Amino acid sequence: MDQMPKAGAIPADARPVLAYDGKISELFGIFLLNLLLTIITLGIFRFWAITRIRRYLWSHMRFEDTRFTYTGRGKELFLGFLLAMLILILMFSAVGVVFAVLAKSHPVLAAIPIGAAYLGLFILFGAAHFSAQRYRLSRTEWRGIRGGMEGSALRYGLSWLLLLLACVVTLYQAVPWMQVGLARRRIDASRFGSAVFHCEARAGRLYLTWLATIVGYVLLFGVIVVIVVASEWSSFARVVSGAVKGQGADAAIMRATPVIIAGVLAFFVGSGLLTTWYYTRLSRLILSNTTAVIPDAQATLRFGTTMTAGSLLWLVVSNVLIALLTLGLGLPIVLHRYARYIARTTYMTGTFDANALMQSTLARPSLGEGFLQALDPGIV
Amino acid sequence: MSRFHDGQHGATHIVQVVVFGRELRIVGADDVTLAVWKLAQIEAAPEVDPDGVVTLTARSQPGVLLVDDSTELETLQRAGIKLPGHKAWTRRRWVAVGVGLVATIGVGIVAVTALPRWLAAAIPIAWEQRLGEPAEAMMAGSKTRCTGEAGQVALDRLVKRLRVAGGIEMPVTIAVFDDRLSNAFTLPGGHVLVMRGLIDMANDGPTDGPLLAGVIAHELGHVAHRDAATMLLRSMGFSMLRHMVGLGDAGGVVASGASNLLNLSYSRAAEAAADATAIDLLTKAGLRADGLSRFFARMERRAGASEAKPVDRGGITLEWFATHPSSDSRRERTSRPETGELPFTDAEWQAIRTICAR
Repeated sequence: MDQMPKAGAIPADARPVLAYDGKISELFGIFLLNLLLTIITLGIFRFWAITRIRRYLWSHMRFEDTRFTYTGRGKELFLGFLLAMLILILMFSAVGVVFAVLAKSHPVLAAIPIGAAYLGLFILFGAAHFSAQRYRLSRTEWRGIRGGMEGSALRYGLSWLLLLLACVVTLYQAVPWMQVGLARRRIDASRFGSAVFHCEARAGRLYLTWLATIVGYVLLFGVIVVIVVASEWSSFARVVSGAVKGQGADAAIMRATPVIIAGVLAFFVGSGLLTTWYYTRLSRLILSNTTAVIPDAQATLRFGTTMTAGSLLWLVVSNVLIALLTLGLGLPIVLHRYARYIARTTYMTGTFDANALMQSTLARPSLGEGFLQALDPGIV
Repeated sequence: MSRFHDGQHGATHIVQVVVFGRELRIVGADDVTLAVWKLAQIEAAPEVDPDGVVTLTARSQPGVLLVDDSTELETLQRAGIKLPGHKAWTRRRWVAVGVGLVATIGVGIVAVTALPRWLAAAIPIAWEQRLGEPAEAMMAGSKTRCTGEAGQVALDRLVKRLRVAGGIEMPVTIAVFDDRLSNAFTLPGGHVLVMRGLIDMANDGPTDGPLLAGVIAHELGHVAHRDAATMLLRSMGFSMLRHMVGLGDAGGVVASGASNLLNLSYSRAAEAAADATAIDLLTKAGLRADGLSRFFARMERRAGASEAKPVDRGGITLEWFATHPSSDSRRERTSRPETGELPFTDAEWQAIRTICAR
């Protein structure tokens, strides 16, 4: 059932998965109080701040006309973070001790604990994303039914590391396999109540897109360099040939600066377009090959997205500009626009039978996403 | 009309709630009792949901009860269940948060502007010296140090004279490096580094000695004000604040931009203060104090000659964005008559000019 859908080929019975009805003004109220308390508490309030924002966003997302509830607590995030820090500190202390012991007698062997620590840190970093998703799903309720995730976060971290190494070894040719493979692993592990998610996307479908993206980067770079050099040839030629030196060379380079800046900007815009084109195809491939099945019920949901490269590029560029021009204070607008975009573009087809959906039997993790907060914190 | 989700299925039950003794009975269609909750175990979510619905759960029992009917809510309240208030954002709360934010940001700005200066002044000299060592080692590693012995003696003599005149506590070392830049730097711990280009620039005979002495006196001004340590502490403070507040990636970019701008404006103030101290040191030591303004004049002439003054390109003056205020205004402010002793003897000046010769 692996497919790469055409843009605009939306099934007749498609309907939005989510409806978002948040208001920027309310989000601002939450954000400003968060900001104040975070500054006053020297950052400790961050965990409660994230929880407050999530509670707002979740409660303004509806599925089948019922709102989601976020049941996580700031305390869980905070304790999770403390635990993760403790483990990291113990890990590094242990590495330090082993290194100190080995360094004198076997200088070569002493590299082993350092290398092991690096590998361990990479695996933890990958695992952190898996367990953070597990925490969020387990704290998401819909009609009293909660989500969850099956499987081992560490195994996911190991796959993350191996796929990353594959990307490096193949000079980034394996990137689609990494991205699709990791998304598939996370989706396949996800549950909501008794509903089981499944993803059949195959990265091979995306390889040509990726190849075209890389070739596009290189071509774009080459063309822009040629244009820049040609347009300020008189300046560059004197520097390269050695006709001017020292101060004179600096002056010549200075004269070409506006053209160089224009070239860099052109590269940003062009490569941004290529990147969003690739990410649009990636999202479409993953979502359109994802299903949610409730066992013992004649109910299968299929997903898809109406996302286009143009709309995604506009969203990302305008959001970055909003964040920069408001000195970061426009963050609620950015969050609001992302939430609205996701709700607007994601659709589903097929039947959903709420009466057949049963409660999750998976255990709830007691602490929240500590390693992610320690290693790769974000705003939501 | 209240709704009940039993926590086992995804179905929605339309229910009525009845308080019965110390229990709450949740009754569905056909008068079937779907759940019985102990009143003492019932908790309401801290916020009313966007449709004005109150969400209730019971500890140790599954299920979610959603109530929006005002008479039923009243019944629950009378039974002793604490319900969340309406979450309307009153104007007073907005004002309170706004004032709090402005006050906090004000305190934060004071903390990153004034605090580093006080802290830097409080750091023991020995500590600051240790702080500067790695930076000097790095500098020495990438460039060749000039070792002309007589030139070094002459420079040391000038530094000592200025230090004594200004009562500068911090021990100062001065070193010349073989680099074509016409510049000098001060590292934490009183390490003054002079680039060869600066000495080459003073090529107008022994009367150019005051020019070099002026720049060195300016650097000693930085040492006296402990600017290098202040700058270090300030940038550390900025990055700490940035990580603590944690505005995410976009916020981080903005914060680092803002901190760079602020740093630039502080360093402009620091440069002006070091200029004033330089004149003061030279005058107290009885030396000619016109060198600094002549240095600025020469920098201007050089910039004019290569017509590469990029800041004037668009017709706007970007003076505010420059670390050092424009040499034009600095030249005027440091302008002094050609009176006083020359800083170096002819033999000393010759030795300094050839300090990098091997």
